[in-house]
Amino acid sequence: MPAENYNVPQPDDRTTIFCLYCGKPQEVGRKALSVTCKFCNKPLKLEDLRFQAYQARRVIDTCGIVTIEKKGNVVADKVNCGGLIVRGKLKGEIQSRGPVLVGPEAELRGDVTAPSLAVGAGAILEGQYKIGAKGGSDVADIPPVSS
Amino acid sequence: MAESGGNDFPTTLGPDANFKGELTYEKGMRLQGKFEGNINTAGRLHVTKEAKLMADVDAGWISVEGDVRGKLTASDRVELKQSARYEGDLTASKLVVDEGAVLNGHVTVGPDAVKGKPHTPGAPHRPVNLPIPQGQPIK
Repeated sequence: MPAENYNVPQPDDRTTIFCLYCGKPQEVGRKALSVTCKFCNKPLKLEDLRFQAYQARRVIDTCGIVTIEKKGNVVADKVNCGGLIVRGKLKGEIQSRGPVLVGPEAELRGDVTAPSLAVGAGAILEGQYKIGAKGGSDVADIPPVSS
Repeated sequence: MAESGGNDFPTTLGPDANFKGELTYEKGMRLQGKFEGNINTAGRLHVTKEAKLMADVDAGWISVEGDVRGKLTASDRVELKQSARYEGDLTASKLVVDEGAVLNGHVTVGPDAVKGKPHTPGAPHRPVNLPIPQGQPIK
């Protein structure tokens, strides 16, 4: 019997992730905690990370959502994530594939690259920001005003 | 410069206007055309979707829907709407970025970010003597 005649149900517990290194999308199981990128063969963590106290890390790497809770204070060289929620304090270079949400009274210090940003009133931000679909690089050349 | 009837924005720089120089005003201005230079106000600035602004702006409240390049300082807040495209250094007490807005530059936001230059509505304007580049576009 040809393969197309098999009645294999489509799994509905799949989710699409984007590789942190090559940026290519791929489907993975919703419950998977880590995979290997099938394009660049790099190991990818998929779990969501939650910080509720002081933590100093060299690198935070995950395709999931990183959450810094109100009492969390994270210092990292680099944060590479699928999305970021900051309610406490975070210092480091941030590269997010998803939106960055900064809560009221949160503190975010460091360079940020993300597709979108939401900031609560009273939040403190400091750093170089590249926000937008292509990391904020598609600002058009504005022609000078002719006098 | 045209005067329109709006309460929040009594001044409007229309879509066919090209302004080069320094501008100060009291309440609010809606920019629909092109502006190059400096803006100083304790009031509001609204950069509409079709507007292009290349300026250093010191204002109380700045709302951007169009293209802006330059240094923005707002004693109250900066709002980058969905269609906004901004490149430059931003300093404000509060920042609102809608999804789809493009932001590229150094950001300093916080209650103390604009300390040292308080802007209260109705206060006298601080004179600014920033040089305006002559004969060459601001890059």
